[in-house]
Amino acid sequence: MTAGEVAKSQDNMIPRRPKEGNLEKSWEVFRQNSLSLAGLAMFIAFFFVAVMGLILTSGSDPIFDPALVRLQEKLKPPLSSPRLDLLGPGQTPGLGIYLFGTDNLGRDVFARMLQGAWVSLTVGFVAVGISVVIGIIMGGMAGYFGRVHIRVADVASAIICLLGVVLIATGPMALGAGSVIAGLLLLFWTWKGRKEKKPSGLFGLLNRETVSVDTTVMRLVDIMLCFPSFFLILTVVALLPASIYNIMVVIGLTSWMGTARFVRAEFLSLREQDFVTAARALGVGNLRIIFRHMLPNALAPVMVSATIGIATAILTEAGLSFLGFGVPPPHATWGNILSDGKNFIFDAPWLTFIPGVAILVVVLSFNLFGEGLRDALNPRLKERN
Amino acid sequence: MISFLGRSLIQKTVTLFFVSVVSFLIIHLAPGEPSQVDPMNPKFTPEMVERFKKAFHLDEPLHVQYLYFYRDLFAGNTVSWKDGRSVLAKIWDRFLNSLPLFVVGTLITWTLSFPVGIRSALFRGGLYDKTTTFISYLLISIPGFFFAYVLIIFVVDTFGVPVIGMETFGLRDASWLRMLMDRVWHLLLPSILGATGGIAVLSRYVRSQMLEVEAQDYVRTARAKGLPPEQVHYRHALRNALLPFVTMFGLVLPGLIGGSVIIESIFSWPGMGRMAYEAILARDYPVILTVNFISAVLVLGGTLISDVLYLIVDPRIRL
Repeated sequence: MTAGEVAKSQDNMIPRRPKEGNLEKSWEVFRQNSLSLAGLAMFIAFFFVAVMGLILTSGSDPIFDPALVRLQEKLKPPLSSPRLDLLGPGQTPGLGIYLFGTDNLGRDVFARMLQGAWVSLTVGFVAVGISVVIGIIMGGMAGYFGRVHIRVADVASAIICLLGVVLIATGPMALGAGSVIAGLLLLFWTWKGRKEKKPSGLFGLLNRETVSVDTTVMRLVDIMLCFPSFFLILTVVALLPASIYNIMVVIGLTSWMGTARFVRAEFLSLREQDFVTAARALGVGNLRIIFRHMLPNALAPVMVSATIGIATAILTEAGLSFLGFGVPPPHATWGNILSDGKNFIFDAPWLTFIPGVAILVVVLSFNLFGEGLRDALNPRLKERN
Repeated sequence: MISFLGRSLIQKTVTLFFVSVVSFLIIHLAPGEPSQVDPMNPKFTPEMVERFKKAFHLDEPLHVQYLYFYRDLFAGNTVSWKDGRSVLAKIWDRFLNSLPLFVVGTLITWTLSFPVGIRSALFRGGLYDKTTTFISYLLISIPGFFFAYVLIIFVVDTFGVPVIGMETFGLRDASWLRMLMDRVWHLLLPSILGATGGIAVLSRYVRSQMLEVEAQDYVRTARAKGLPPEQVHYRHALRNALLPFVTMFGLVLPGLIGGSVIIESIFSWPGMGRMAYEAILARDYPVILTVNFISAVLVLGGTLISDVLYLIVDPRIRL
């Protein structure tokens, strides 16, 4: 370092932004992995196709009509042109040819794939969104408030409130509402006594500590992990009325355990770090510490597991469709195009191969992108890969 | 050790209790009733429904039903609502069918993953490593039933052997060799399909374990003192890299009952997964709940076994 540079650096002693932010650093790492880059490109392309699919196939007079039945043109192979003399007005396919052929009802497979892209994407994103939100709440509670113990009063008021909700749902409204209010009152009444050293009598009993929050949440995770996941999803979906929303919610509700564990582990180590202590010393509230200071630092593993989770959700939806419990007919998804096509696998193999390869490519791109993200966000792991 | 065993046994029993409650609630609070199973059946009169409800305590409140059900389960005399057969006998039959699939699938997984994983760790970044990495992602991402159809078309077209079902119908008086080959062909495809996901995940895991151990100081020391590479890799590195896999034997256990619903459906294989699927369709609650209970026991037992194995294999761990 020359004398001039030293003087210059002394001039700028005020702290500055680092030259290279975390994001740029991650991007540097990510860029070197060509497979992940390909995954990202496919990810963006899929997103684009899905949005285009939604625009082009919905509305009263869509450019590509996925529901238009042309029985005279059934099981046409891909790239075949329609027999215009057999088609009525408005029945010609959007591109002038059947790019992906037609199915057993003469519906344009290309239009159905376009519509299915959007549906598969929503199933994946909504299901993972639900599981990430639950996972962050559960994992955050276990990680941040883990040492807090649940008191007898909390359990009691929770039970009374729950009873009230059940009562409201089943009939006696007034009794149910009263029960909910009684539960909340019990909670507020015992809340004040928390700070006292040695409460006695009924108050003492109500304030007795039972298990910690951490134990409760982690046992809940254990319980959920005991169910064979696909079997559980299948059971619930089969018992509930068939609808696309039920599938998203059920997949979401049964796949939050991994996220919860990641978030808990991150929170346990973040909680002990200096910047959290500093924030607490400044009098920052718990919620602000959690969401403003800790959560952004804990998001890396969540993002990775969410990306891979979307891939899994799309596969699960396809599997459910295959067994006949998938998204019901007015919506086309790649899963149900594929499972409809399996009956014609020898006459019309494209009905199986086009959606099959499409699912494969999309799921593969999500997986590759997720793995690349893992390396990029956590360079320490790079050594092991 | 004893106190650890005692503590985890208590903990697992409590977990099991909650699992049984939750699964019971899920089944019984879902809309629809088992008395609606077959309204088209002329024998299914209102009197039948009444008798049915009486026999299976469906008139009682939920918690009483719960007690009745698990009392019957532990006494071993739950019966299926569909055909009146004992649930445990039914499960045992199907279990015996699923067992060969499970055994062959697990063998394929474990014998393939280790050589592949170790080789790609030793030649990290090479062509072999890159290819296997890509292939394992491919195997994770492929929808199982799509892959199954591709494989079926390929095998049937190329070798001309039947693969659907457990054996070819009407082969009674063929020679024993022919029968054996028939069984092998029928077993092969579903086992390979069951193993694909496992191979992909396990070989990646072997690779990362191996890479981690190869970076340790004692491996460098072994190399520095001039040992031949084979000895370094297989005696010093591999033995230590194997540690976590010993515990995975316990985690394989739940696969015994899981079976794959999808694969067994495609191949018309009368196994556990298929039975569970049929039970769900028929709302045969005792079968669903029993399968669920047994699989929860296997999951909990598997984690316990893997913890104990870890204790035995790795003396550094003290619980």
